[in-house]
Amino acid sequence: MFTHLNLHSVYSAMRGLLSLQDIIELAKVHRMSHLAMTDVNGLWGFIRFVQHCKQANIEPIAGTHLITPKEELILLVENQIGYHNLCHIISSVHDDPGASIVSLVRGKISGLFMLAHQESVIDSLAKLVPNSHLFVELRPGLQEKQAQNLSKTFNVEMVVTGDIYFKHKIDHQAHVILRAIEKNTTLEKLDQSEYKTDQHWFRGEAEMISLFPNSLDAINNSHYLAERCKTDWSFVNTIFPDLSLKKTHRANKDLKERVIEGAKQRYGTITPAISDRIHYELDLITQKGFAPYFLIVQDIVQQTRSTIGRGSAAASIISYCLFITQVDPLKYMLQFERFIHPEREDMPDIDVDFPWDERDDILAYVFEKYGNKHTAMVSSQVFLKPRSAVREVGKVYGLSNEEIKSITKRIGWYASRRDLEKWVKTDPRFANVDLDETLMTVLRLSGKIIGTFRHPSVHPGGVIITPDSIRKYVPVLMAPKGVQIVEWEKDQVEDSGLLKIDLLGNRSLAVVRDTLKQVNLNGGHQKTDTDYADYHQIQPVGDPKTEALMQAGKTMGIFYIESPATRQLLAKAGVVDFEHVVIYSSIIRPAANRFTTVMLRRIHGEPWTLLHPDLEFLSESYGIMVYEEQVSTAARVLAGLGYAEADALRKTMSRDSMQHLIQAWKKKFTYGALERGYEPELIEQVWDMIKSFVGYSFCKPHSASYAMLSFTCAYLKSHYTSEFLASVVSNQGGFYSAYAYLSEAKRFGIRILLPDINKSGKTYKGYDGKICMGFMSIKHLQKQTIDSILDERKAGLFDSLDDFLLRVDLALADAMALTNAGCFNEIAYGLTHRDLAYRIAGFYLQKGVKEPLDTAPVSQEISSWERHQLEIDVFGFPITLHPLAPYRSLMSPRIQLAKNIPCHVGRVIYLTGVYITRKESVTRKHEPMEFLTLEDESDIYECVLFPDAFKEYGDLLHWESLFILRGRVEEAFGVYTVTIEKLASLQQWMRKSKKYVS
Amino acid sequence: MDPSVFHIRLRHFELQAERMMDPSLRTRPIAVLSSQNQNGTIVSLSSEAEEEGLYAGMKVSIARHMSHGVQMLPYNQSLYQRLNQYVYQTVSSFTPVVEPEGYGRYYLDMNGMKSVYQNFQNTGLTIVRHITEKTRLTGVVGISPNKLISQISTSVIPESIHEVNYGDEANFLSPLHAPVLPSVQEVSVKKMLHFLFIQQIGHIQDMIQFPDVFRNLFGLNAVRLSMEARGKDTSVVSPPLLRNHILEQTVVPNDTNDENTLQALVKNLAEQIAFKLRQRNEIAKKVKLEVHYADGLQSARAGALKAIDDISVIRQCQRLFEKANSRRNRIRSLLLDASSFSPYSEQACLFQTQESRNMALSRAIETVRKKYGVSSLQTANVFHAMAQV
Repeated sequence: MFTHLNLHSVYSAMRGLLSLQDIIELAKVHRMSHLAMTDVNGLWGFIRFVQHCKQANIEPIAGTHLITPKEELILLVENQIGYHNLCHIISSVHDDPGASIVSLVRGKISGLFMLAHQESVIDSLAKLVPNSHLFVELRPGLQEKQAQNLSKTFNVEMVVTGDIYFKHKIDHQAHVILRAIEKNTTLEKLDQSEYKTDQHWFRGEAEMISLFPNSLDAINNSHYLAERCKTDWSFVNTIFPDLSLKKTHRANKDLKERVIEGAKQRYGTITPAISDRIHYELDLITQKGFAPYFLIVQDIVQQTRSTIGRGSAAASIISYCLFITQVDPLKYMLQFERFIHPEREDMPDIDVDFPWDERDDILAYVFEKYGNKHTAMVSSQVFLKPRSAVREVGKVYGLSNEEIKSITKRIGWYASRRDLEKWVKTDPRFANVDLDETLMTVLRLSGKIIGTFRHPSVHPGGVIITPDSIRKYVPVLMAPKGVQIVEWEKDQVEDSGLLKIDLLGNRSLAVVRDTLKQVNLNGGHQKTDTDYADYHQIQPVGDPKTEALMQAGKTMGIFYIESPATRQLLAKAGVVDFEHVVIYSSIIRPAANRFTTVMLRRIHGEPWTLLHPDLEFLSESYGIMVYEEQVSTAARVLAGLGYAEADALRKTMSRDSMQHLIQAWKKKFTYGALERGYEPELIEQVWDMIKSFVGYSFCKPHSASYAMLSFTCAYLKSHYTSEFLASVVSNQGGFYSAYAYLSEAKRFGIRILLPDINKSGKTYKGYDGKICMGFMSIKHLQKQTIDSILDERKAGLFDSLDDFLLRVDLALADAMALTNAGCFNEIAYGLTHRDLAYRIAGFYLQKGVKEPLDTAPVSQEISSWERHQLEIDVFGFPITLHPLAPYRSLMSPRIQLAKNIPCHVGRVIYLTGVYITRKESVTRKHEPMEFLTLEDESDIYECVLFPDAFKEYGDLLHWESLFILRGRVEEAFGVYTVTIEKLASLQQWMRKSKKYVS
Repeated sequence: MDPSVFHIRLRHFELQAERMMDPSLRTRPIAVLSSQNQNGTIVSLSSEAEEEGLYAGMKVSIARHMSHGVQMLPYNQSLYQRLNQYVYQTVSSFTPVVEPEGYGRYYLDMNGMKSVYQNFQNTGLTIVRHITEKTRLTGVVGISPNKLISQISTSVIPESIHEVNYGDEANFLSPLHAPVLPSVQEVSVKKMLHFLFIQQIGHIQDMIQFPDVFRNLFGLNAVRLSMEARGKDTSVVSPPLLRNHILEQTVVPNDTNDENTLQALVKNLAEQIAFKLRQRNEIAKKVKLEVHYADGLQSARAGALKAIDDISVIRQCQRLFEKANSRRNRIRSLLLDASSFSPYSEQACLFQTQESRNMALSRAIETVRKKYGVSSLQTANVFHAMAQV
């Protein structure tokens, strides 16, 4: 009998190659009833491991392979105390990786079995650990005789382990590559002690016996020891910050009081319907002991003004009354059961968004309030994906960055294929890449290391709070950015029962906040810097101007509905009430494209019926499955699953890490539905809809929450366009570039003003149909320069150039940047750009004298083309002229303007365009294609490059931004797109035609 | 004072060389690349390739994206080197004072030759014609009183010959773009001219009228810029100096970062340096090892030799290599440069030392190699590595 007690999965960073699926499959092949996962210095994938083992009826053992610079030790968990100690020990090794094994385990030996193979380690541990818990490890690469001697000397038993790192012997090269990546070296320079020999593959019992024929007892010992380890892992209990009965009782009471108070504020009068819902939810919440959780979240939310609760929590009237969420669940018929249902045992998630620039303060508040001992952030586990795998292996093989990029930039960020060699050989995107022998080796090896754990990073917002030391529950470590994180990522944290609160940064909340500030400021309402209107007071739903804007698809800058696909969907649908926008927010996902077209046809009047009368819950979304809760409802109604099971199915569909369970769920769903008498065809159709939720989907409360913020943004854009778009650009990020947003502003008739030394702030400011660019728009201008200008301006505006130069102490480079940006145009009125530049340069460079030069030897004004070039230098894009304007006079009149596209439906026309954005996609036959958004002086327009055109012109999009194209105008649901037949670089075309801008 | 400095420029030298070797390339769009790698650049290109939007200095990766019709040729160093040497010898027959300035560009000092050639314009045309007859390469000539003006005239004037007379230098330069002046390549000068929007040399000449301001604006570069803008250049045409160096270089045909191969190549180069030092009976106080990576970057380390037996030189060179090769990128070539020589004296020793034993071994190997060739006696790793080279 043999059980593997030293096994490394992909979670052993840059060492292990075995995925959890591989491990389980191999264990099943070798009929192992127990299995220990001992990843190096961590429990990185422990929760996942337990889940996989349970699925396969294997008893999971917790353990780790402790490695310090000179020593090694295998630790296996005997009981819960041992687990706590293990977490402490791992946390300690993260704190001090150079510590000795003995110092790490001293005082924490209880409940742990220890296996060591180094004499010095056994010697020192033998004095601390009873020989019932200490063993000599015999692993591949060691001599049986040597282990037997150690066993005799210290009077401890021997246990054989596999010390596994990879599946088969042939995977050894990939293991060596991982080590070379980790050590930042080449294969030849990698020290032999840094990697394992090719003996560390997954062996069965027979192979272990043939490896150690004289140690049969030690082989059997592995199984006996496995049986003594803890295997009954249960994570049903949620770990709250405080569990005492007294405090829970107080929390229940407190929650009730606050909810009633909040309900009065939210609704004014509390109707019986409201009261019933509140009591129903309160009963369930208090019964499950979730009250303290709500109070913690409310406390955090109260630290700032603009927040938005998202996720399923938006279905709760309690969250709404506590001002955690902003959507009335009664008004929009949001099911509370998606959030908490009677069978729910795990922790419900309350996710809250904060303005992106306030989030760090909120996190600091949480850490300060609960302390580092009880608080940590969730980690993000970074695994090697195709792009990073090729990049890292390429570096080991000495490829230059350019050679590596020639492959990686053609691999999408989210690509998950492992057969890179075949992919690159067959995909037209790689047609121009020279594939030599080295590159093929790089691709082959990259394929093998995809999916291995690289390093942890900090999750953007997940925070964990525990009642006592967090190190008892999960190993923690300090992230390079100085924040304490746990080893697990959000899904494992959630599944382990730890209390997780997601506090995420959201740019649009900052946009809304800043817009309101500007509106107040422009209207003269603002008393102090913090006294501005609360965005909750805005009632955007039903506002005609807001709906007209959305109906026209003019939603650039608007939260969540600004992508070209969503803009087109809004325009195509034409119906933009709140309920529909909630549907659109949910249906825009890659796997649901075909359902979108069906839904559009139905919105436009195509007759439809439900697939089955029992699917009545789909009638709100035109008979199409749109929300996550519809998946669980379908599972309950059709397959007869309970709340918990239906919820588990929903979770499986939405999580990448659980994709291996989909087939099992399909079987369960199908058998359940067949048993209940539904037709196989119907079951297949419903499952088809469920399948479209794989990887990326939302629940209705989440979409409703986001839709409310979308409406708020749309309201602000339609009523306070310049203030809103100025805030969008100032907060950066977003779907588009600053240039694209400023172009959008111009399409709304807004004038863009160059930065002005007396009027501009750090950020963009919108007022009265104008946007004044902020100093932040000037490239290479130092932050302290901006601060010193603004500080000095508090003492009074600058009345002349001389006044400015004398009052503000700047570096010449900054003064040059301000001059080129046109900041002095107002205060130095009448001077040409050259005059100004000459004066400023003279001021800074004259020896011993600090005064501007009076006369410039060359003073003629620069031409408009020169101004155009200067703006591109300073801001990265032109402001005064449209990028196409200098070329327009050289173009044939046959080239149409975008605003005239609707007049040419079905016809082939020529257009020019500036690059705005693009999105690569694949056809049903998995051929690559591209959606491209361009604009000219008159309008923005959407184009499609189908596979043939993409193959020919796709490369052009990597380097060009001004295009000339020939394409056919197509129309669908009143929205126009151009199917590109030919695409060329405008400047290249001009050169060929011998036309030059003078 | 007659203009007597000639500048001969064989435009697109590399391109012309390729077309000379393969006439079928004459009408095709072609570009010569500094390196086949993605981060290589275009060194020289045909007008057909220019029409496709390519330009000299463009990155290969972008050029490949932009134009699939242009034939990209690798940099044929040995061809250009030999051809350049041949042209250099050809022009040297007209005057003893010739200074090469990169491939396909030569300064000729014709001072005092007026009596021989009478008409310099005709002489210039004769030189170019002579080059064309011998190599089929075409060129242009600039004649002026100094190197600067001659060189600028061949870079901007489309005609095959242009002469600038003494006193006309400033007028000649006035309408030209400022970047043709060498000092404008200095970052601080370039930045200041860009800021002041000074694009023509004439504008710089205007600024020189205010010498104090000019000096303040351009600092240490003011004098040089002022002279250049007025067409003044006092440098003389100087033929290349023979340097006292021992240079050994290996170009790896397939870029590699294989440590064993590279160590073997370094060993081979070191043996050659050691052999040459023993021949001269000199020791190099400075030995520099250069590593040229495939992505164009290079790294170098220098040290001194303490002995000239093979083992000592190899050890020192391998130490330098380990220090110089700090990156994982593949290496394209290795260069060893020994200089600062002084006589080597072997001190007679009462007892045999390791150094004397090494020296004896080196001399013994040398004897065998002299008789049967260098490849007759090699260590296995060098033999293996050299087989690849």
